[in-house]
Formats: sequence, C-alpha cells, structure tokens
Amino acid sequence: MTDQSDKEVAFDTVTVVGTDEFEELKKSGYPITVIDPAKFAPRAMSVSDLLDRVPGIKVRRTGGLGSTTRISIRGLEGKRVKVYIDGSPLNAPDGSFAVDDIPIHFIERIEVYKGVVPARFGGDGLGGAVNVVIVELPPTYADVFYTLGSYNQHRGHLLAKTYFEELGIEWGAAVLGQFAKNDYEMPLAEGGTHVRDHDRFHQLLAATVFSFKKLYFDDLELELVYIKNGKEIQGIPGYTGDSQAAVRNVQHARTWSHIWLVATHADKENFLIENLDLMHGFAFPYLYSGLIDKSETVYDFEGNSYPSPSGSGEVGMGPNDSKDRRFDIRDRINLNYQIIPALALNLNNQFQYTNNTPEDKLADAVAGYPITPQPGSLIISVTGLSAEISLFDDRWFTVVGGKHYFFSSKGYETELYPDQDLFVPPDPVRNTNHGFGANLATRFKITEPFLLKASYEHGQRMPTGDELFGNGFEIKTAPDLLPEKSDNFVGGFYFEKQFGEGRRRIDIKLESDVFLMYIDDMIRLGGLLVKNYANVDKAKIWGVDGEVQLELTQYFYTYFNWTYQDIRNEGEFVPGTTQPNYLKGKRLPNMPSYFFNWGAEVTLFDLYGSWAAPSEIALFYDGSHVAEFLYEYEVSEFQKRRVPSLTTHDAGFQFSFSDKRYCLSASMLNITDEQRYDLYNQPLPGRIFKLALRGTFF
Amino acid sequence: MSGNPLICCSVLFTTLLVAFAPGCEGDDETGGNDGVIDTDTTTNPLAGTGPYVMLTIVGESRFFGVVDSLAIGNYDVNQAHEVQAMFIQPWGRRVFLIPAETAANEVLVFDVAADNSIAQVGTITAPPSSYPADVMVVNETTAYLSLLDLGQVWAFNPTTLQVTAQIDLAPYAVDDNDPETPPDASPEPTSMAVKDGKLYVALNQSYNMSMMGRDGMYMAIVNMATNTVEKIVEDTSRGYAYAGRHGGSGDCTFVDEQGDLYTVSMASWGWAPGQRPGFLRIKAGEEVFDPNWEFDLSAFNIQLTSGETVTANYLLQVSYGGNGIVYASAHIPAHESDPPDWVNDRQMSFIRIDLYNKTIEALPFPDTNTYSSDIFLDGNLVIAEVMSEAGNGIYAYDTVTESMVGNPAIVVQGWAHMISPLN
Repeated sequence: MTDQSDKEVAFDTVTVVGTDEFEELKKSGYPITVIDPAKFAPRAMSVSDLLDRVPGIKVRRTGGLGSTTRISIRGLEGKRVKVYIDGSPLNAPDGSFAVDDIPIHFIERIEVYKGVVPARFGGDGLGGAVNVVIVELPPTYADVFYTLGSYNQHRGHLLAKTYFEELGIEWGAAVLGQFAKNDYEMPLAEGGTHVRDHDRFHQLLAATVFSFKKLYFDDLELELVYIKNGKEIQGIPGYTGDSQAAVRNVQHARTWSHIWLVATHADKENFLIENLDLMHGFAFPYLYSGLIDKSETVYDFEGNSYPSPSGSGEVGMGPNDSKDRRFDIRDRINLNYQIIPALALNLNNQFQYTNNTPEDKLADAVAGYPITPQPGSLIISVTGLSAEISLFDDRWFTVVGGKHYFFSSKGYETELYPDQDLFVPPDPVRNTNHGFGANLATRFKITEPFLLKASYEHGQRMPTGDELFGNGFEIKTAPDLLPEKSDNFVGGFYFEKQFGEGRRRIDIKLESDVFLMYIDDMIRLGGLLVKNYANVDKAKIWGVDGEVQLELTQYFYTYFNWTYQDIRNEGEFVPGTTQPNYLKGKRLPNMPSYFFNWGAEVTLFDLYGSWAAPSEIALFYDGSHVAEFLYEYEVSEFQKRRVPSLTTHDAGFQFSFSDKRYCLSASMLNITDEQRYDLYNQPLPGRIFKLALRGTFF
Repeated sequence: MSGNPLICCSVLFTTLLVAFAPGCEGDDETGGNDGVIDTDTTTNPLAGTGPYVMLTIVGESRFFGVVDSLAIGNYDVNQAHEVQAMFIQPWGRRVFLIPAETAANEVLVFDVAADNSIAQVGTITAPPSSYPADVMVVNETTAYLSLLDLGQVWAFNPTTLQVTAQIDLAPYAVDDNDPETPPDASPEPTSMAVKDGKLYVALNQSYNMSMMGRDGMYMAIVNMATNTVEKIVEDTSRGYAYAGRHGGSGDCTFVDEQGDLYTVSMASWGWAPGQRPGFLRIKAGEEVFDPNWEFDLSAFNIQLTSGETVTANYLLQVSYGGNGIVYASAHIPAHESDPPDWVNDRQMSFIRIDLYNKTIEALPFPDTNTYSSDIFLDGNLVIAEVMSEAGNGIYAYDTVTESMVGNPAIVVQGWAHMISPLN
C-alpha cells in the first residue's frame, strides 16, 4: 500500500506509484519549507523573490538588480545563514556570485532549513540554511528566456543540451546575461527626489557541462564556468547607513570581477558494497576582482563639483585601483549507507582552502607604504555524521547527527599607519579553532494527514578571514576570535488533506512552528581610533510562523503565511564591565517583529484551440506586510532610525501553451508605488513592471 | 470540508502563543534622570553643578543630551537626540556638533533652552567629504569652521549661521613632491585660537590616506579682518608633530591668561616612533614657536595612584583649567593590548599637567578606554567620563578636599563620549 504522500500516475490500467521528494522533505523532522520553482518559472522571478514569500524568511536588499542581498531566516542573517547548491556551500570567495544568479528554471527545488540544518550539509552556520537543488534536465533540451523590467532591467539566457548516446556523453552549454540601470528615484532628506544615476549592473555567465553516463560512476560531470560582473557604486543622499552620514554623489567609482570555475561531480550507487552510495564534488573557483576609484572630482547632489579632498577618489580616504586575486579549493565527499530499510548512516566531509592575495599599487603609492591588506589563507573542514531511523512503518522518523568543525587561518599582523620611512614587514598570525555541533530532528505521524515535529541543533559559525585579520587599514587583527554558537529548539506540526481527484481536487495544507534560539559569542566590530572584531553579544530569538495553503480545485489557489519573531539582546553585562547591560531585553535592530504574506491565483485551462493545447492562463496576486522596525536600538523618545511599515501588492498574468513549452507573463510589483526601505534604511525601487518570454524545446 | 478540530486547535494554539508571548508589551524601558536629588549645596558638593551637554554612544548610535546636574545619580538617553557627531563645542547655550567620519560634511547646531530642553536650530553644510573638524566662536558675529580634508577654514556668523568667507589653506600642505603620488591636497586644519587679534589654526599635516602626521609642528596665522593667511608658523627641529586636534579649540589649542598660545602635539597618536607628544608655545606678541619652551610628555615617568609608574605617548582629551593647569587623559601604551582589545583595555589615565612648572600629577580616577575619557574643570570639581571595569560613569574629584565625590557621581547607560559645560 502506498502512503498518501506518494503521487499516483495512471498508465492505462496500470497504476505506478512514485515518491514525491517534496513531500518527503516536508514530512521529515526538520523545520523546513520546500519551494517548487516550476510554478513560477514563466514569471520574471528570482530565487530571492521566492524566498521572500516563505514564512520566517525576509530577503534584505540594498537596491535594485545586482545590489547586496542578505537572507534572514528567523532573525539569523548574513554570515549566520549558509547557502548551498546541491548540498555544497555556494558563493564565490567574495560572494560576488550569489543565489539570485541562478535562474529559477534550472532549479528543481529550494529547501529552506529554519533552525536545524542536516549534518550532511558540509558548512558551518547557526541553524539557518538554503539549499538549492539543480534540476536534472532531459538529455536533449533547449531553453530560451528573456525578461524586460522597469529601470532598464534585462535578463535572459540561452541553454542547449544534447546526448551522444553511443558515447554515453551529455553535453550542455548555457549563456546568461543580466543588465540593469537601476535608475529609480530616491527621496532626499530635505524633500524632493534624486534619480539614481550611477548604479548600473551587468553580468555575463557562460558555462558548459560534460556528463559521462557510461563510466564506472553512474554520473560523472565536468563543468566549466566563466562569470563577468560589473557594478557602479551609487551614493545615497542623507544615507546614514550603519554608522555615519555619507552624502557623496558617486559618479565614477565601480567594482568589477571575473570568475573562472572548474567543477566535477560524481555519483555512484552501490559503491564498493551494496546499499552504499557515494557522492563526490570538487570545485576550483578563481576570482579576479577590484575597485576602481580614481576620480579627481567629487560631487554633491545639488549638481556641484569639487576637487577630491584626498587628491583623487570618491569613496574611501584615497584612490583605489585594486586587483585582488583569490581562489578556493573545495572538495566534498558524501557516503550514505542504507544498513537496513529502517536505518541509514550518512557521512559527509566538506573541505575548503581559500587563498587571498589583494593588490592595490595605486593606494600603496599614494599612502607611501603598503596599505593594501596582506595576503591570507583559510582552511575549513566540516565533517558530519548522521543516522536516519524509521520505526513503526515510518510512523516515527528521526535523524540524529553530529558535526566537527575545523578552522585554520593565516594572515599578517599589520601596523596601522606605519612610519613612512621605517616600514617593517608585518608578522604572520595564525588562528586555529575546532568545535562540535549536534542536531536531532524527529517526526511522528499522529494520523495520516497530521504530523508532529521537533528538532534541536547546537551549531557554530566560524569567524571569517576579514573578521580575523582586518583590512590592513583601520581594522586590525583579532586572532583570538571564537566561533559564534547557538542552541536552537523548534517544534511544530504539518497537516495536509486532499479531497477528490483531478482538476476538482481540494487540497489543504497547514503548518506551523514555534522556535527558540540562544546565540552566544556574537561577533561585533568595535573600537574608536583602532577597530577590530570581538565576541561580545548574546541574543535570544523566539517566535512562531506558519502557513496555510488552500487549493480549491485546480482553478483556484490561495495562501497566507505569518511570522512573528522576537529577537532581543541577552547580554548580562556591558561588554568588558560588571555594569548591568542596559540593552538587555531590547529588540535587536534591523529586524521586523512580524510580517505576513498572502496571495491567490486563478488558472483557466485550454481556452484556445488545439494548436495551443494543453494551455493555461493564470492570473495571480500577492501581497505582503512588514511591520515597522528600527535600524538601531530604540533608546530615545526622539529616535529617528525607523523603517516604516510597508504593505505591497503585486499582480500579473501568465499565459502558457503547448504544455508550458511556451510562456508569456507580465506583472506589476508594488502596484501602489509605495516608498520602500530595507537594509539599513536603504531606498528600494518603487513600482516595477516586468515582461517575460520563455520557450523550451525538447 | 468539515471543521477539522485539528486545524482549529492548531491555529488557536499559535494564536495564543502570539497573544500571550512575553515581550509583546512594554519591551522598551524608558529611563531618564530619575532618583531623588539632594540639592543642598552645603551637604552635596554635586548639587548646583551643571548643566552639561554630553554625547553618549549606545550601540551604533550617538545621542546628544543634557545632564542637568551631577547630582542626578543616573543618566540615560531617553530624552537625548540621535546625531552624527563626535565632538561638541558649546557657545553659551548654543552647541555646535562636529561630525565623526571623513565622509561627513555637516555641523549640527542645537540650542539649549532655559529648562534644559534641546532643539536643533540649524546646520552648516560643507562640500562632500570635507570633514568638518572644529568650530571656534570669536564673538556674536564671527566664528570659524575648520574643514580638515578640504583644507579650508570658513568664517561664519554663529548667530545666523551664514558663511561669510572661505580661507584656502590647501597651498600650505606639506608635500613630499613625489612625482609618483598625487600632491597632498590639505594641511588638515583642526583646532583654533585667537591671539593678538589674529586667528591661529593648528595644522595636522598628515600623510595621504593616513592619520600619521609629518614631522614638525605647523600653524597658520589668519588676518581676521581680511580672512587671508598671513603666515605659516613651523617648528621642525625638535621632534614634535601633528599640531592640534579636531574638536580641540579652546583645549588642545588655547590662549592662557598671559596671552600665550599653547598647542598640543599629538605625535600621530603614538604611532610614529621618534615624534614627541606634548605642547609647544607661541608667546604673546610673537609669531614663532617659542624656541626656549617645550613640554615633552614622553619624558615624564608618571606615577599613577595605584603606585605603578608609566609613560604616556599622547594626550587624547585635553582641557585648560586656568593658570597653566591642563587636565587630560593620557594614552598609556603599557596598558594597551597588541592588537588592541576595545572591550577590555583600559589604556587611558587621567592626569593634571602644570605647564608653567612642568609637572604631571596623576588623578585618582579609574583608568578608562578611548571611548570615554573626556575631562574638564568645573569650579572646584574635576569631572571625567570613565569606562571602568565597573561600568560607565561620570566621576568628580573635589580639588579642595582632594577626594572623589560619589563613585561615580552618575552612572551612565551608554558610553559617555564627550561632555562639556555650557559656557
């Protein structure tokens, strides 16, 4: 007999039952949301757009296309949240390749772990993670996609794949491009607006993949990728950021990067012995990047120009023309052994070596001494061992795991502002750390549609190279920095019930979690004349989130999700003193306390002739409300650092025909053109129009 | 669809959790200047003091507020205004707030009312990245603003805030004349004083992209009638360097009762081996550094009240107390970790300097860090901001009884950064 989670496909009189991996993940013990991007593929949506609709998640942005984004999962964000592709840590060494650079058409599913991350993922972190699973495309396939959006936004890709059956080789190639001017209006503090005029972004990605199907491995892939990025730096009038006012109207400074990537991937079932499955991945990304800031003129927002106070340069204390080189060696190996049907063991190791060599001869020449940060290297090894136990005919399913983190870094102890005539080469500095983590996730099926879940994780986030070694300029080293730590508890339920069949089927899903997290040794930058990072803060996060989805036949779908999160400073004492911490119990800044998402979709089928069949047209609407929040501690009646609450509405339509091979969609985001602010009160675009076209050929 | 009790219970469960969750109400404490104040000056030496204006750091923000009196016991920023400022320059009940970062370009102007409430009344806006460094008021119609990175001093009316002249000091930047590097665009004007009817402007003369100053002490003498530079005064023979400091007018650069001008040598904040911290002097009626007078801070062995003997390599906060007496916080390198530990280091000690008799005496305040180290004399009380191991507070030392009053006088919720009486 099949579990109701299995999908039934009827072929004549034979009923074949397969396993729905989405449902398996949702019904595992982990606090997880699983996103199916296929539904949204025809629209001009990014991974961040999808994540932003998930309960417990907020994607924090600083601008339009190409701007910095941070994923916040139940209050954890930035370096505390890890992003994986197929279980391996993502990111180019400097983060210049981000999750939004992957078109959602190539994504099978997105797994969002909220508080507890499986030990089989080889990274550190404090319990929040996003895993993007790449889709397995048909052997012969072609796909073309183009989207046009407001503020001169263009995105497109061309992908083709073929299979040489006799050789057992699949070969695919893809070209992706993105461009945006991001020329939207920003409000000025004194009134009026200013159009962003130096915020262009462009990206070109070219990739080719060879997949060998007839070798010892079930699948062996070789991937070659090249990525080119360019981004202008936009000044923001009256922007106070996270420290002080910066009113530079930047007109010339920009960043650039080139990334070359060689990667391999191998899968083998029954490796050496039966029921032992092997996965191996290797990657070598090489990043060449820099900042160009050489203008001898600076500008204000009133149209006036002045000589650069430092002689040249608009952004920093002086000019820059950096040419930094950085490469990683990443290796992941995963072994999964199904001992008996009810018990499986999984062993995973993720190894990473990073070598960083900055260079800025212009800055060195102007400063009169080597002001460029010193080279450094980093080794990270994370090993996870977990056991999956299924009892009572899978009524009770539990995963228990442990992780070991090893971290070793090498850098240099730089003298800030050294004597111009007596420059002494800096001393090398090393930092080595290791620690353990553990997690447990369990799920019990009360009745067929109703599950209870509970999970716990003790996690660690290793300090990054910049936190350990500073920037060689105003931030010094912190060689004794410890990892951040967290203890996360999550409990919840999942309910799903279906009534009827086919297009008249009614589907109800309801899930909710309560979560509690304690975070210790949080790393913060401090210091006045000389700065460095230190472990000083503690926090407690608790909250509740959930979602209800209702599919009333295949013609109508609606959803509503909610998130309440209470994130507070828990330090007992003012750092370095015995004085009671006056910030204890206060909400951490930059985090909304609650937000909601809702939406509805109406789908009509086969309205057109047989030439287009099967076809469908979908009309969709999505809404969002985010509560007002402070981007600094609320300690004064005259506090000004508030981001106002925001309610936005999006709507559009999506027309597809020939079984979704050809799609056209149009959408309007932020219909009422609300002024939006986000991370550190940075202004975001207002109303956005998007048009997307897609064709697949196979 | 039937009313499934599990669905109803589940929704109710989460709803109840939200409704009864701790921290939903009253999560923000409102503090203030609470406590009973003993206003009897015969029994409480702190009564009758103040008001003072103070900058306090909380988290990543800075707040400008008023401390009504040292007798209040506790201070928080509940009634303070959030500002982007590093230094405060009072003029009567008007206060000029000097910004902190090189990217800044605004001086905020606040007035303190008779009831000690504060309100912003204006802004002086300079070009982007000009880095306003200091304000010095001469009289009701004349004041000066130094712009460190722009290399200019602006004359303005402190009552109307109108800019009346721009004095260009960029040509006086000391430069290495290295063809491979851009010329130094600014001599970094900072603190100022008026002597013999002329404006004296201290010049840091730091290197490009650096807080390191070139060897030598430099000052510009400005004709206030014409707002033009008359002369550059320099001393490059005795090892002193980095004249003046932003936010230091009246303290780091001041004129005593004899009409002699004294200016601090910051010695590149202790980072330049061989540069001597201390003071040089320009005597009344003269326009050169006095070749027969110098005060070398680094030459002193300072005995702290703990009994430890230390040396200092620069003065951070300086305040002239009259009759040649300077109160200061001194940086003690032996008390600073390598690399510095901004959480636990207490590398600043408070001292009293007698410039006339060339002596240094340690004051009995606890050691502190660079965040909280301001000090000044108010009547018989020496007042200092301290971040000790016990926490942050404002301490007072009675020069008559030679004893501490309160310990501390005020407990501060936040990091008290700069404090000044309204003058």
